[in-house]
Amino acid sequence: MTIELTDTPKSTYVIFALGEYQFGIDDVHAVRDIVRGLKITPVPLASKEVMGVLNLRSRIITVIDAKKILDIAGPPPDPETARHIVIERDGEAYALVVDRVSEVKTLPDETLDTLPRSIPEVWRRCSKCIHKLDGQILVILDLARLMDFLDKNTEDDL
Amino acid sequence: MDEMIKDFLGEVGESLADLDVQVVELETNPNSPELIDNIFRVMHTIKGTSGFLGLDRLGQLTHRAENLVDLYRQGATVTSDGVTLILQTLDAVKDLIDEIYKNEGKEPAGDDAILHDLLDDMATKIQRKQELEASGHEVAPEELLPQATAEEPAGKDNRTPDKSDAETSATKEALPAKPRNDPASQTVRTSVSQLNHLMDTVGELVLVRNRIQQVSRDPQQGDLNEAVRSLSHIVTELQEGVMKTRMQPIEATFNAYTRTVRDLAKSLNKKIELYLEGEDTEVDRQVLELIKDPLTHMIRNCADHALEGPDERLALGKPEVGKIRLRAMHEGGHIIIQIQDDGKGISVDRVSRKALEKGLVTTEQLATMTPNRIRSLIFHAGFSTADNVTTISGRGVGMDVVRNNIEKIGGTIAVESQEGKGTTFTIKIPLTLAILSTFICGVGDERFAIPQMAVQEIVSTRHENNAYSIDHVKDTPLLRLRGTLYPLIDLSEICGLPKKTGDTILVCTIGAESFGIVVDEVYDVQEIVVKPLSKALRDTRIYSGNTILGDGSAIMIIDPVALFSAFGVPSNVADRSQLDPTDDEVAKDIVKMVVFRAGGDTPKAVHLSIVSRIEKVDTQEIYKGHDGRFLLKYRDTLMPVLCPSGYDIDRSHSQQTIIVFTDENRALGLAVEKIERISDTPVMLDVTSEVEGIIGNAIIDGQATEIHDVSYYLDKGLGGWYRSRDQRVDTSNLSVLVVDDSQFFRNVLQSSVASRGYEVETAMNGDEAISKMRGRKFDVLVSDIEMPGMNGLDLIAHIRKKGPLQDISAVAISSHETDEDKRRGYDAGFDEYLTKTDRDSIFEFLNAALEKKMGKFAQ
Repeated sequence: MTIELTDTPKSTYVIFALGEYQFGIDDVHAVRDIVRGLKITPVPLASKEVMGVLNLRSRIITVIDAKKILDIAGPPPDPETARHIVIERDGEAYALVVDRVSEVKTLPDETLDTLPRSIPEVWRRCSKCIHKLDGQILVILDLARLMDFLDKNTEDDL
Repeated sequence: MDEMIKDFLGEVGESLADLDVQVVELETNPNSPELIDNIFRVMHTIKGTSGFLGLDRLGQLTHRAENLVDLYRQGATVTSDGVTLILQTLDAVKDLIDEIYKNEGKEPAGDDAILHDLLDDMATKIQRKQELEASGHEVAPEELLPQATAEEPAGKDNRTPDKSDAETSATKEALPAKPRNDPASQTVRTSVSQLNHLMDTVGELVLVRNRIQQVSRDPQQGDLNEAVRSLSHIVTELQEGVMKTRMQPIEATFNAYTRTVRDLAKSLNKKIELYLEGEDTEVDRQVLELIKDPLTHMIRNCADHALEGPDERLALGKPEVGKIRLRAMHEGGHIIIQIQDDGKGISVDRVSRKALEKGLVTTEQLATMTPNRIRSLIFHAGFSTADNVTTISGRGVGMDVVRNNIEKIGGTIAVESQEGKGTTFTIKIPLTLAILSTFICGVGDERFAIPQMAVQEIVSTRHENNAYSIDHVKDTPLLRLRGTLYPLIDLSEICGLPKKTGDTILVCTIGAESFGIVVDEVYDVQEIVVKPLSKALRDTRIYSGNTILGDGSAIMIIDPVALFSAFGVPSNVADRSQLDPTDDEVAKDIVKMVVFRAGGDTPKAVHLSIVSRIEKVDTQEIYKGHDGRFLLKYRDTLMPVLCPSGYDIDRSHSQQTIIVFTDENRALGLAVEKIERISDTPVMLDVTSEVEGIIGNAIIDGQATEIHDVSYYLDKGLGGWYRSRDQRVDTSNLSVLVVDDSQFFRNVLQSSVASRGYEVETAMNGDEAISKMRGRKFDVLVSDIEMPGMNGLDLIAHIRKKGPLQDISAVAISSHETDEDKRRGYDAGFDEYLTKTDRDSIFEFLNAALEKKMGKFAQ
């Protein structure tokens, strides 16, 4: 067992892939579950982000296509590798569908950086910061803002 | 919040609700000592306890009210002003209590000085009057006005409580002790959230039960069946039990309207009396909460717009006092609430004018509408019949809001009215919101649940049947069913799902609107637990919730109301005047069904014509025979008794309800839990069943009902016994063709004729009959008269003239049997003309035909 003596600040992330991009969620506690292979019932007439509903241990969960929120093009998630990240929002359960979950990882805050100007506007709206890792950019998403599209939908309705 | 305060507030709330009614009664019955005592006691209790809990404002207010009521107790005359003042105080007390609730048990800051003064003034006035009367003075009214009131109440504050404390404790003791100690009637208080939680858990249990039920249907799981059946039984009982804990008599809600009506009558200068009926009807408290406002609105409407003033009423020859009747009752899994008044009625002319003005309908459309359908236009958004918006019922809220609120909880509302005589609104709401009986429908590869309550009947267009057809008006498909055209909403089109067959139509009626929902298939009737939609799904318009089915999949629940408002009548066919209801001669097959309960959630029904009587017998008289069949000692003979599957003789009751069928001098009993009613209904068989003994499912009085096949029971109960003994000849030698456009009758006739061993085929209309007769020989033709296309008369005329089988024995069966009908039947060529439901005569005819045939062979 190694004991970390340095008290470098660090954070834990759930890291996943959407298309060819890497994303992370720093609010690990908000993630209730990561599941896969559950049967999704499509919901006709729902907004484009909604893939359907599924039954997770007798609870109905609304399935959200994370790529649709972030405007990432690409084929629908492959059921073999796709994962559902289950989160809570205002007492309701949602599952974010991602193409792959790579790992839960702790990263030192040193590699944090502000959002570069080049990233798309939608990403900017839903993100907190980035990590630069081996030349790859890991965008840290802000869960609350990612799910803001729900409020937007209702406003459009009014 | 402090537990004690919470308990106190709960208790006070209940007593106050009771008080409202009593105070109003006080006005009609001003010096009833009992009423005054009750009011006094409640005021006193609140005062006492609030002092103890440090709720000063509440204490002060009730103390003063108590003083006033105490004077009434001592004999002062109760005036109308006095009642108004007490009501105002009660309102203030209620408001205070609400505030205390919201404030977590703390009293809000505030000043009740005005009310204090009013109460004190009134008390002083009475006291002074009493004093003067005692000293023999005539009292001038001005003298009654209070003068130096500021000091007096302050002084009184200090001494009165002691006095009245002593007094009331005496009153309390003097009261007869209520039979509170009877353990069966004892109650406990529990929080609503706890009940809700219990309800949710039971809901989950129902889902698990459904799931296990599904698994146990697999024939390899034979042993499981028995266990599942008892599980199902227990779960149903538990579910009902928990549901009952959430049930509340509608009484409290109804009683509150006594006050509403009283206040309204006063401010409108009208005389109105409110009659309540069925106050003990129990309703889910959640439902109660949600119907309160719509009901209040409608009662206000009644008082304000519908009922005339006293002079006008007298001039019209009506009693001076207007009546509002509020009635609640249970009806087949629903609650019916009626609001009836004997006022003006809704003027068709005025509604028409307004609807035209607002562009809701066209003149042509109006011309084709029945008066009550026109009146239903008041439920349209933006419609308000009152020409002047008043403070009583105006508020810019119309009946459309009422309708929306009721539809939100899955209910419906309808209006009937007679001008000059009055109006009746009928609201139908589900017993509970948590569990919903639905049809599970298939569209493409998906399944949806559609609430059974909205569905009138299900039409399958899979097999050609001329009772309905799909017509096109300007390229829009419409369902024509018994002379009415229904717009169709095709779920696969709306949802962008691939269409498989699209040949099943659920005919829905919501308020005044009727339409069909097109799906591929109806799989099942299921009780589902409604789960609310997440925010992401709330703007999808057509769903009311979602649920988990027995097989574990999540499915969406369609909201027919929302579906209709989103995708309802296509504008190009909105004008129904072009739809000519010409095929009225395809008369409805009205049949009488006995609807009963015998285990399970679904009501069951048998055809009345085969029921000879319904009786209650002593359970002890039923015993098990040596072959396992139940036998009942019945008028010196033994009668076999059967139980529908899933139901058993209930030994816990001393009496057992039995439906007795007779068939050729033999009787058979069917044990049932209870008889619900006998219903006149146009039966359309919706889902045919594979289960032995069940013909299929049909909607009777808006509820999915299993139609049981009595021939099956007769066969099972009386066995081959009657066949071998009574049937001298082999009935299978006789071949019978049954022609009827009603699938229900075809099934009933086919199964009962076949159960006697005859060989049977069916045809659904004249054309099909002829083509079948060309294909093979039949001995007997049993034909309905009223059929679309070639009817029974045309059919027999055709056969007699051109064949095939020109000399076939032919019997007409019809629901119309006047002499004229019969004559036409004989003229056309029938050998016999019988009533559809007269089974005995039909079998006699078959028997005679058989004997004739066998005789021929013998010769």
